[in-house]
Amino acid sequence: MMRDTHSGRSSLRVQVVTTVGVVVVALMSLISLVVLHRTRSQIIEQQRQDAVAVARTFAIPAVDAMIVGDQTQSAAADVLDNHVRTFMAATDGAVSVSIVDPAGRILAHSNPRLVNRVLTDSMALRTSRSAAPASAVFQDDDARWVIEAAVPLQVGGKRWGGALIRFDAEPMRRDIRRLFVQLLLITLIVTFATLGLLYMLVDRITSSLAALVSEVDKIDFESDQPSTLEAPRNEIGYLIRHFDLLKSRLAQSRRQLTAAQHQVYQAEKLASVGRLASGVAHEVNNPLNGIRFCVHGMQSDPHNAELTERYLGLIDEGIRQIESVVQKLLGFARSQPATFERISINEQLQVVLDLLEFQLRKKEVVTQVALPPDLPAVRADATLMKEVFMNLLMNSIDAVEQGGSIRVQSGEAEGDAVFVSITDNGSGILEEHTSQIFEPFFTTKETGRGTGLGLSVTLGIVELHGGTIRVHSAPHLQTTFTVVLPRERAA
Amino acid sequence: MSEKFRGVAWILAAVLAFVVPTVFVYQTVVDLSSPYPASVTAPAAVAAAPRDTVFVGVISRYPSSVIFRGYQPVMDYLSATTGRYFALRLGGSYEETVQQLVHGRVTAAFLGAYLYVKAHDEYGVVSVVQPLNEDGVPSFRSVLITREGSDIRGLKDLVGRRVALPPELSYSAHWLMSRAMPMAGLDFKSIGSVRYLPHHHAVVYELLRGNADAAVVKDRVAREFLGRGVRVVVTSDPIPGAPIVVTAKHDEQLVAAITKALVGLTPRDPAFARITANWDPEFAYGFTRAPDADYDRLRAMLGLRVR
Repeated sequence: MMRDTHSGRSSLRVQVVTTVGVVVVALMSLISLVVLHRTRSQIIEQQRQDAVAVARTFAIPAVDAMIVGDQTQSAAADVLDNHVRTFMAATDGAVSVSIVDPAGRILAHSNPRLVNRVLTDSMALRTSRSAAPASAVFQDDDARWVIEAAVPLQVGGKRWGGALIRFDAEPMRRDIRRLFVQLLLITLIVTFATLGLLYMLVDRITSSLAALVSEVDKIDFESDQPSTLEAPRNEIGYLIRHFDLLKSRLAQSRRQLTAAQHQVYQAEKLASVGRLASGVAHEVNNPLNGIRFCVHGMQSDPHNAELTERYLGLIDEGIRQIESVVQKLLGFARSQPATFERISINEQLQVVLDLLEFQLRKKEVVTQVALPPDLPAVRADATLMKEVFMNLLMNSIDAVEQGGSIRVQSGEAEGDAVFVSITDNGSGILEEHTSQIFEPFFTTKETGRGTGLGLSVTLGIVELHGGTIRVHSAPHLQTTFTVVLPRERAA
Repeated sequence: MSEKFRGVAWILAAVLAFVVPTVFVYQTVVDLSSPYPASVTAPAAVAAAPRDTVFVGVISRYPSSVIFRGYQPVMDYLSATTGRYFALRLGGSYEETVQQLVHGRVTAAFLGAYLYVKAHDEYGVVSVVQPLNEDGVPSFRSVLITREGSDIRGLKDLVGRRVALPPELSYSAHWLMSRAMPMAGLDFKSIGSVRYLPHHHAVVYELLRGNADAAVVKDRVAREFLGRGVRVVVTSDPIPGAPIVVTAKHDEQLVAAITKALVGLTPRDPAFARITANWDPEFAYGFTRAPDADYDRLRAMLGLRVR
């Protein structure tokens, strides 16, 4: 039981933590990816714009040099070379500069050995001819990340060529790498912090639930005292308070049920008494007739002292017989709280058989009784036990035909128990009725002959004593009711 | 045992599910490759100047870079509208541009009004169009300027002062020395010193650097520096606009095309602002025809014979 509860708590904890963990990781990953993507794009775009801005600035004096060169019909190469060298010396992160004429010839370069070479790389040629400033990021021939800005050297439609300036992109790459690591750490921290908090929260909830389950296991249906659990000011407390209310209502229902059962027992007992009445009347009438005969004899011969003494003895015997019957009847019909005590099942059976003696004789029932004298005692209420045997035997008497047979047997059963079986060869119970005969108000007897409560009450009494009752019936052949009761354990 | 193995397997799977995408994302974000825009990588034709290029000269009134940035867009416009290719060919001086025109090294030229009058008399060059000012009038003015805070309030204050002037063949230089000073009853010799500089901008820079106490430039240049340490003291009378000229033996069709293109473009044209956005400020209000008679008033002012 505890294993199941613990397993249930673990399962709930694992499910909640796993589900929320997956959601948190997915959500944080998504947010981080969006932030990473946007920030990375902004960094790259900003660096590209900066590169283009620097290249534009570089281009202004370069164009001026070209204009002067045109005006003076002189080569601007010297001025451009000086401009390139000054730029390279003054600009952090500049990797290379090349100024290319429209035909692709390098007019000036940060590496002077490349001057006058003609670009053969179609890509470089195209970018050097770009009509508008542009930039790109790529790995150069040395596998170094660079940002290249291409700016045209032109005024209006007059074009002198283009400038290609490369800047080191490694710092930008480091920034992006740092951003990635920071976001990864944030994602991990948030994820683990969330899972940790969640784990503690779920553990607290499941602990409260476990305490509640434990309280349910210990529930005392006879008591409507509130549970000893502390009710926190949250949903768990709400559950505990309602659990106490449920417990209170349960106890109240239990008391009402007990009262109703008592009424049912009493009603059934009275019904049994009614059914006994004819037999009892016969038991009383016989001595009464004897008494009347004796009284009549004494009146006829009042001076016969010998006759009177004999008749008085018979009258006294008759009165004691009547008194015995009445005492038995009163003992059976008495209503009193159940008291569990050490009793002999055989004695209770014998009392009931005595009460039913007339009915058995009247129907000429062949009665076999096998009650072993050394049958262990049981701890039970004697009155209730008599009620059980009375119900079962009267059902058997009702079921058998004139001259039928009933066998009453007791003995030890497996598992430290004793049994009482009552077998008859009456009409029996149809198979489809076997599952219903213990339900209240179920009866197959004629209207007015049965309350339908007998077997229901019998089952309730047997279960109250921790016993069982089972039936096996072969209609018109043999029907056996077997009551098994736990024997009294040695102290 | 199997339960424990399953737990370890789950943890390994979770770690892998996190590590593999993380490595993939890392590889992706540190790959910075971003190519040039497609427009850049598209093959571009290399435009070469055609044989019949129309070279246009410009007197060295401004620094060559200023001239190129303000005049090349005009060339682009003419190239786009006339079907001929126009290119600038700057002169090193006012006289050189006249010589370029006279000797056919340029087909047309931007001259100053004073230089035109002289070149017209000497070489028979013909004015074609002239720029309009903000009032829609084809004229400009020369202005005497000083530094902000200077005590020079008028021409009389120039006595004994250092004055910077644009080239002698500019109207601005001529106006101060030959018209403004005499009209003020002053002898130009009363000026402390006079320096002629290569172009109008150099004059202003010399003034701002404190190497001159006053200077004379075109109003277009003075406006460029107003609020930047320069103050206008005296303004000349309106002078006919500085024309685009051609030689007497000019190509009529070409001149007609130039005239049509420039005069036909007026501020009423919706495209005017876009087309003239990068033009020199002197051309910001468009052009009008420049009949030689417009310069008779200037000739009269200069005391030259009016034809």
